[in-house]
Amino acid sequence: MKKIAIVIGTRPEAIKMAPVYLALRKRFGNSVQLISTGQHRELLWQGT
Amino acid sequence: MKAGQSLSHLTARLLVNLEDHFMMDRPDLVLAHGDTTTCFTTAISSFYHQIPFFHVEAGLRSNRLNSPFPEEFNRQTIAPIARHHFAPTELEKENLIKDGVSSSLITVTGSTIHEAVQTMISKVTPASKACFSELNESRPLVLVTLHRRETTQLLQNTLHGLKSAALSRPEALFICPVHPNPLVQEAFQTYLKGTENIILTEPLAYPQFISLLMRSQLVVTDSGGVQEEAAFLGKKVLLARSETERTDGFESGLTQLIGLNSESIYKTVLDELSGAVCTINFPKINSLSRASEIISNEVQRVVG
Repeated sequence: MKKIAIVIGTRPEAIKMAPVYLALRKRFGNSVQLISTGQHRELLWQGT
Repeated sequence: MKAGQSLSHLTARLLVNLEDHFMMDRPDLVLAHGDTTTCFTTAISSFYHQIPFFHVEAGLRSNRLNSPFPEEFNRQTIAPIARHHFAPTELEKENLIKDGVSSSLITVTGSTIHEAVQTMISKVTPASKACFSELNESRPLVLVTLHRRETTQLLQNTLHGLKSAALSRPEALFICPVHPNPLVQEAFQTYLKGTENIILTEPLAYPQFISLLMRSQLVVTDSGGVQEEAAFLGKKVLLARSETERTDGFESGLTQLIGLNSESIYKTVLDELSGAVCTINFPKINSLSRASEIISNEVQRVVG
């Protein structure tokens, strides 16, 4: 299975990519990984 | 954010971190969103490692390289790297075509933020609502978020205008979740602290923020994301910036560009607080964009 990475780094990105992450996980399961760059480390926790 | 990190340090750090990750655990396809330094460095790293990069929320343009800074530069640099572009609307698709992107590489998806807000509304419970003892049922609420880098010098004007408005309307409550950028923190502390009906708070958890947004009479922001969220919820938004590439709320007249002039901000906020509460209903769930599904379909077409 091919690996798909979603990269986020700020809270707005986490919020806006959450639906995409969930939709891809549903379809491709564990081959989808979420990578945080840590641009805004403390703001990320709520988005997903 | 690390305190006082410069764009160069941030960019360098993210590029190195991404490379380390791609070397260790190479993906076959990478997706990132929008126009941040994260998205910019992710596109560059994907390019260096020759991994296909898909760009979500592609095609926003001011066509002024310095504004918004550095986002417009990021957008223009990301576009030639992306193998596929997910444009929120036809407008962004047109922008990409003008920049020479083949229309076969562009899919119009709608905005993922509408899906996110809808999900969050269903999760807002009495327990997750933001609690401020100063906020009672009858008190008009003005929600304020200001953070933009290129407007930090001009933030002072905006804050002066807001403070004057708050002093003129003591019955209204101004809640300001303050961005962690040290320059922004300092400006808010310097210019607004100690005003009785202005609350400076840490950035809120997303369900709390959405609950406050739903409760608010007026939103003053320089954030494109908040503009989108507020427009979706049918809120009156005063955009404290000189221009915007986002069209959310302009058609309905609920979003208004007010610039960065202290006097104009003061007057507009007072006018809005004097008017009737103006909201429209947010779209029903069946009229929502299915952005995430459309993006998944395109990903499936590529990775099989």
